[in-house]
Amino acid sequence: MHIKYISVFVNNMETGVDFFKNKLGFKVVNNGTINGTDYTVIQINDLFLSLTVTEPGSGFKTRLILNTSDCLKDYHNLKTAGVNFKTEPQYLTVGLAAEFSDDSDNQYILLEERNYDDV
Amino acid sequence: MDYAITLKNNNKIFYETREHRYEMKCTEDFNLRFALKGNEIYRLGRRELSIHPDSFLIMNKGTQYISKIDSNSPVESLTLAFDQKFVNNFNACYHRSHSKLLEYTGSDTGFDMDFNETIYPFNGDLRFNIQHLKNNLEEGLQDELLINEYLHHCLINYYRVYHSEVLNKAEKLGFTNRSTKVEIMKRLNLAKEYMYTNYNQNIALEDLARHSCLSVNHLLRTFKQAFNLSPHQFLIQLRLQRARLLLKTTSHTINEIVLMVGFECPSSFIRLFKNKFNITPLKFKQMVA
Repeated sequence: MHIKYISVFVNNMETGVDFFKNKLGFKVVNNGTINGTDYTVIQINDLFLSLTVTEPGSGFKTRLILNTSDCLKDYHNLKTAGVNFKTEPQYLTVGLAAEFSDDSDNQYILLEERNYDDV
Repeated sequence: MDYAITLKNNNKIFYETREHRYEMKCTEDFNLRFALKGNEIYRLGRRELSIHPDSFLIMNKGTQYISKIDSNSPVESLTLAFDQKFVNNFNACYHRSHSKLLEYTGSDTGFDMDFNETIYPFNGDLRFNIQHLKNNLEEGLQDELLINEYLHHCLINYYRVYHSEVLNKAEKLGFTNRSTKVEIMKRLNLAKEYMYTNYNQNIALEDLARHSCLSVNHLLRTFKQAFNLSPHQFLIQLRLQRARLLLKTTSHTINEIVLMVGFECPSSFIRLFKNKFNITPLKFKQMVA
């Protein structure tokens, strides 16, 4: 058994799909309904997310850590594409990270892990 | 592929690969200088400074220097030159609190930018950011906003190196007078750069003391206070670090590397290497091959 889709709760499916597709570069794989709840599966590289609509005020929020090989470049490109960053890239003990959010107030951390022990 | 890029804000990036070069110039801006492969020698007044891939040199605006490359294999050198206005704006952001930043009009001339012109360790975030910048430029990056973002972060990284290598270490010195601490730290950096440059030679303590304008006793005492290592221990660590780099990036045999970095005996090198990196030089070489 393994995790295949990670759920991301959005207030509105159309704006949710638009954010992932047009700002983050995901592509839509399929959509459907499970137990009366609509979902849309989106994909980038090997990562599959399942967008699920929730009622505003339900309290369902997602916090995802997205890995990047070049945080400054992706930060710049995403910001140029209109993504709302809550922090500028900041240096952590594990590398460089910047935090952004979507219209549904989900939190995303763009993380470039750095191995400082390497020569 | 060599390149010389001048951005609209007058920041500049120079990258070139040379086996031989002799250049006598005066810096027009604050500079960070790297030898990404091989080594490059600088002469600042009477001081000779040799930079390798594990170190970099800073030069303030208006410094006269001679740079020299004389090598059997290509030396990759990279220079970042920061326009004064860019640096002043950076300083305003870096040093001011957010509330003061809102009142800032950009009209003052900035902060004291007279950094200690010496060799600093090239590692950590600065190394990652320089590598990303270089890779992106080689792939044809032309977006000046992104290039300036990298340059902005290189300054953040350098300031942190300066704090860690100069200001924090000066605080460890057992003097009450701040100007004495700063002056002693400058002299200790002269000792350090002498070892960075002559790491593969037999360095006599008297020569090191003379180069740093300190007595032998004073040098030993203050060096240990600042760096938590004796000059001899610092030199051994530097030789081991450079041996590790050579093992990883060249095809030289272990015996050749032992001599190249200044060790006299392979067995003591192997013992010291294993103590520091928990792996023998041979196994390390096989692992990274």
